Amino acid sequence: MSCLLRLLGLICLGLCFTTTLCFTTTAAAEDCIECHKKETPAAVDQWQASSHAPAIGCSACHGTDHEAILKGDAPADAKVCGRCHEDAYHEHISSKHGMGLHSGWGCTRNLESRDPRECRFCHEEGSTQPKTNVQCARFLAQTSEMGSLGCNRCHQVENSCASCHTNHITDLAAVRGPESCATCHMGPDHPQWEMWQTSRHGVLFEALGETAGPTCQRCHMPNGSHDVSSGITMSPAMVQNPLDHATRREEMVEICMQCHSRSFAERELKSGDVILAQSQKLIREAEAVIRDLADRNLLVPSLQDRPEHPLRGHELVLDGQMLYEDISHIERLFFKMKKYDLAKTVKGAFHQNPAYTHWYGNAELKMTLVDIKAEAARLQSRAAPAAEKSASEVGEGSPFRSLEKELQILKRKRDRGAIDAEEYSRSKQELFERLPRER
Amino acid sequence: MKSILSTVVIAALILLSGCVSGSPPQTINETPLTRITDIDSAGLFAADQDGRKLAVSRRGLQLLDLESGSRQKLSSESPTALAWSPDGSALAAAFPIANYETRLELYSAQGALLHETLLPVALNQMVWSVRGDLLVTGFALKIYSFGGNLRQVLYRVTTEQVVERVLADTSLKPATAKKLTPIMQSVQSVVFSPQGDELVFAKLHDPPAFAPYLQLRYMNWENGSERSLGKIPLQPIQFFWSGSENSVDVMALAESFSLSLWPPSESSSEDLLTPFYQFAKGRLYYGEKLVADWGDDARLQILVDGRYLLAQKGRLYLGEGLPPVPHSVYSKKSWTLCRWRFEGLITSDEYLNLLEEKP
Repeated sequence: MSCLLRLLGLICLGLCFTTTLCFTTTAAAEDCIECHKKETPAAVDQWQASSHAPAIGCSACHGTDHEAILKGDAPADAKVCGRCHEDAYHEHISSKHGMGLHSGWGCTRNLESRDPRECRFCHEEGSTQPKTNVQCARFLAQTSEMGSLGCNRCHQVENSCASCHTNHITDLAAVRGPESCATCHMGPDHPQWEMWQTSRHGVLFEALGETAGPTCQRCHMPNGSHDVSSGITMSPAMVQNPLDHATRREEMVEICMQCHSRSFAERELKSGDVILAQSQKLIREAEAVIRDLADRNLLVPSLQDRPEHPLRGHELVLDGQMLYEDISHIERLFFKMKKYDLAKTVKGAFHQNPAYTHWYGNAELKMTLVDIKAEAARLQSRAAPAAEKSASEVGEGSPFRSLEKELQILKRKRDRGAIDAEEYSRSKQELFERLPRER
Repeated sequence: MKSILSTVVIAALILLSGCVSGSPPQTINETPLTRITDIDSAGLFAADQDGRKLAVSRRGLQLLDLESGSRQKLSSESPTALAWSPDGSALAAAFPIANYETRLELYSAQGALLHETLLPVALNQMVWSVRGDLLVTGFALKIYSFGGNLRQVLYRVTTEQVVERVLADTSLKPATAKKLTPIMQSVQSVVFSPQGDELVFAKLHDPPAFAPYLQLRYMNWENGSERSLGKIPLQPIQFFWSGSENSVDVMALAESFSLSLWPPSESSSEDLLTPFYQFAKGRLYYGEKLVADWGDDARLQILVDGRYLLAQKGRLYLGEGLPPVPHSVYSKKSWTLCRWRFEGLITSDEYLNLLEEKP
């Protein structure tokens, strides 16, 4: 009898639990659906057709505070998805998709040449966790509308699974195709979609399907992993991290070996490394030309005569926080060289696209360097007659003015570490020899 | 308050000049003086560098030719500041119009009015640089029910334009505004360097929840570079550029001290030994030596050739016999090197070495 009673009790308890659970999910969804069938019919349709529908109602992701939802204070962001999809969430946030992509800047903590100020773009003081509202100079220079539609639609990926999966669809067919990546990974700054599409990989995929040509997901999200950085040896700024290079490279070689021999894969990727190094050398050459012009105050407009950089004021910024507006023409050429040409060369090489590697990339990189040197020569020749004119106008003052200019150039070089203290002192002494002597 | 400050100043001067109170003063009081003219009580006077023209406050402003004795009335108002340009071609005179309004007049050496301009401040200092820049500092205090605002301004005045540089623009708490009003002039101390290219001034800060304080600032007005020399609580203060040109003596109500403007070097300590005149409370010191004691109310201007003008008991006298004053002459090299040093283009030692280089 007691066993029977205990059994009946368990059955009652089980029924109560099931009823409560169903009531909670169904009631929560039903509360919303009546209105949202009219207000957002696609969202309701997609949810009803999704694998979430039987058990996960609206409030499970959105909460029940309708006012907060409307104000945007209760976003169904990656953390919400991560409550159930723990593995995917952790893979995502530890990948480059989850590391400060709001700034367009990967973590540089292990690089020798890192600028400690970079950390604040992605991290709160004292925290190793990337923050969502990191600052990006190019973003800060835009209107809020442009920031929203032009920047954040892609860069919100850091904290938004919906960036790829969309809001209510759970059918993985929507994200398994390479088109899913194309929304962001295309265009002049990183045309991975275009270069993959016209590479042998893309052409074979188009002709014969995934068994013959790999998609983005097959190489960059192997086995359904959300760690899109797996096997990638460089940061978004295309700087290779020597500390994890071997590990990352081995990850990619393993992926390539699903179709190719190890030696072929290693050789191809090594060639990509060499092309990266060769291209970075061209970038450094161009950067030195521009820095020298800035030292001589020859940029037009000068650093003082342009609106302040949102993060660095009147500094010359040529790194990942470089702007493409409110700069001189030569900096604009450098922006194209670094942001577009370098990316096309290097990513073209790693995506096995010869036209991107050479014509869209390497050739443009080198031709832009020619343009930069020509523009530098123009700026220098433009300054020379002006200096002569001003010297003749000021009469006896001209030697002082010319020396002052050269002292300023030397100081700027010293301040940015381009010359050491000894060379600075020696160069100044040489200038002092030319100081007019008064009777 | 003014007398307290004066006492502090004279005490500090005596200390600085080597404590001469025990030694018998070697005065030049017996040297015959030539009476030139009468002067208003506490009225101003200023002779050009060569001692040929004299501007004097006597029932207005008068211009005297010391050689011919001719006299010309320039204004019926009495000026609050007078300054001759270094080449003697122009006389600047300032007249208070209202609490915080000053009229500046520029005359030729012949007494013709060249230029007139209004400045929205109470005058603080008016000097000519050795290069010939007329520089005026002033301030304006506005009191509101919720506090106040203090502006300290430097003007460079030419006949074509007035260039303004704001030295400070400070919002004041009600209590600070109240405390400041009676001592305004005495906390607005400014001193220009002998060349007139640099100045030291006190900038008032009045942060919320903290006591107001004066930040002592050093500026090259030409390029606008400035830096802090330190801070002291809000109090009456006066600056004196020391003979070394590398330090400024600060006479505050509560303390007196010297501020180094540049790191000391062997050359600058040699400079300290060069005697220079200091005059306060009717006493004139040359280095450590008391040269003359004319009484508390005497006022003095020493001319380049050792002659001097002495105002005493409503009369102005001309005397002679003082050691000649080494005159500040414009040197483009010295002017430029000073600016380079301020901009950090050369070090302090490089500045001194280059300055000492002989042709």
